[in-house]
Amino acid sequence: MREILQGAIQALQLLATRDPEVLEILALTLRVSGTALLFSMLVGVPLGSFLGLRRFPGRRLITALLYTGMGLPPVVVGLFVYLILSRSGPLGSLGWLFTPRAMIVAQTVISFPLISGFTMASVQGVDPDLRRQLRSLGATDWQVTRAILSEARTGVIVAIVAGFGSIISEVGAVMLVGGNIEGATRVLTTAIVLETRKGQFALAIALGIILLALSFAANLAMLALQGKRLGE
Amino acid sequence: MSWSVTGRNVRWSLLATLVLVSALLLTSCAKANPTAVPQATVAPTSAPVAALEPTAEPIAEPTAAPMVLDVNGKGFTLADLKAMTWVAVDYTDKDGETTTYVGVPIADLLKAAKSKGTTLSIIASDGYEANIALAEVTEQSIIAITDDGSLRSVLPGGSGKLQVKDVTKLRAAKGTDDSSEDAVRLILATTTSTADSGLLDYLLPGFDSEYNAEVQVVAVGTGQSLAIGRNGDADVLLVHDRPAEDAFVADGYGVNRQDVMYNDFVLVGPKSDPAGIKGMTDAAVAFAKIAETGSVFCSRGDNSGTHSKELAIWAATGGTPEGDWYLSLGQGMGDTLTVTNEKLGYTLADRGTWLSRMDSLDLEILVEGDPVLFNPYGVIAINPDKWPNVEAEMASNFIEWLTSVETQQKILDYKHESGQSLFIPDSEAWRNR
Repeated sequence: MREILQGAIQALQLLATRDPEVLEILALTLRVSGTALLFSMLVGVPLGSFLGLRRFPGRRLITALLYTGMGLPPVVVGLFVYLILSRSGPLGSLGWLFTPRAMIVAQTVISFPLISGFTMASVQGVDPDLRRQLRSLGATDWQVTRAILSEARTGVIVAIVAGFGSIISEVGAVMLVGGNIEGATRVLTTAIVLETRKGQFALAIALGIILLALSFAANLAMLALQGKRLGE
Repeated sequence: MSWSVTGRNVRWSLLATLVLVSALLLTSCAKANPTAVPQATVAPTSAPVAALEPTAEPIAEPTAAPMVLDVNGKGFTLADLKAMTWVAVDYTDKDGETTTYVGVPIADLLKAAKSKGTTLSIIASDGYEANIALAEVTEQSIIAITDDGSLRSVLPGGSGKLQVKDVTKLRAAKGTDDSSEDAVRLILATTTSTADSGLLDYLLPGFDSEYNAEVQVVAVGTGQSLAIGRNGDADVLLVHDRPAEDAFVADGYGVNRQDVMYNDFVLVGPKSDPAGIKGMTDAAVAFAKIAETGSVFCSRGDNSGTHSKELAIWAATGGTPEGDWYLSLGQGMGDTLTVTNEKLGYTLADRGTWLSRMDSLDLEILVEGDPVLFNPYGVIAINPDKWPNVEAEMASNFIEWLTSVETQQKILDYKHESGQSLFIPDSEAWRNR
């Protein structure tokens, strides 16, 4: 128990003194997870809306695959990405393994099924009459899609929040493909594992509290977006 | 409902465009500086990540070492320099006095060290550094060998600060004069015990600055280190599992395996010692006693060097550890000690991790000193014939540096608060010193 209190105090100290190592880890965490989230949004939201709006053969299969993807254990994703980016793998010549890029790839793969799955569900939840109505009023396909996405915005925001939550807290994949290299690929979660292994429980808790605070701030920012950008 | 054919096409192409844009973003990200990745848009962005590691002070050259000059990591002995073509140049100092110096043209040295770049740093033994554009280095710019055997740079026509006494290093670099710019990234896969003990943090900055390298440590178990090495994903390994190391080299994955150091394993357990093994000198007998009394034993269970050693001792007892009392954890040494502490069980730990953790544990050393508990570490370079992309030259520099008497002395000097050395140097050079 003592460690938790010590950890909370240490977390404040680390932030107040702008500990350079912690700031660096924090910056890398944001950079990796933020970039991964951006990529998975770019792929996930359009894919999710498409699956939610259209009927076509094989749609069920794709949906089932997507739902499976939502439950993929991160460490399995990490292992796949590792084997693909390994020098003995098909993309080994890129030299991405043990760099932040490998971590971004892994996190994108983890979060995009979540984002498209939740987007699809929320788009499907929009009243089908709205579409017919818009169509009868002469709206183009693009306008209909935009109107439906706007209607489903809460669900889309939840999708993005879920995607972000899944990767900011993820440790198995980034440990495997990043290697937890000090000053290069060490993010908050892998730093927590390392400090726990070293028996520095208070420092590990401090980093955990910082991770929570970061996640909280990011979610607040996204909720603020919900009110503005999509709510025309 | 009706979807027009054109509408469908629009949607498809929209999707395709998005996928294309993401792909483009990814590739452009690949071409940029390896550490430059687009900033996140969603979360509050922070300042760009600072330089990876603080550049450490250059460490002093060993006085006994025959290398007198280091050009981008390639060492030259006095004999090497004497074997090269010498030129004589006249240098007139600011007082109008002209002296004739003889020595080796800097351009020849850079060529011999296969060094290229746009700027040159001339570094003296005391850390003084003078920088010049390589375009300004002429045939008359030399490293002169003075009467007392020391080296100095002589650049006739150059400013006074370029005439550096006691030169020990030349660094050619691209773009800026920042020597970290061109640092070679060397991936060292190693065990958690070397990394968690702090030894590498203590040793590596010396290598990084001396060889203009950036050693990146991937700390996993010996088993995973060897697997990473087998896939060619590391450049050099520092591990402790001799039979597996020998197999690794025999299979053609590794070259240049060298002894580095050793520490020893200790059998730790609760102070109450339910198996009654305290003070035993034979680890196998103690293990047998633990099995016999069914006392909790926590195994690393992760194919690490420590795990291999533990299994070897169980094999020596003639039995296999099975039952409720034997917990295979699949975790690193630190985590295993934590679990052992909670379970009040026994475990086999390397002394380094034990020393760094013992203050927070209610365990104590019960058995130590049995020769079977000897834990030698070896360094192996990944075979460049197998994986041409590895940094073979830097890996070979690393092995030479790690086994040098100077670095070995630093290993001996790395002590725990209790005054015990965490690792005992044991390289060939150290044994023959």
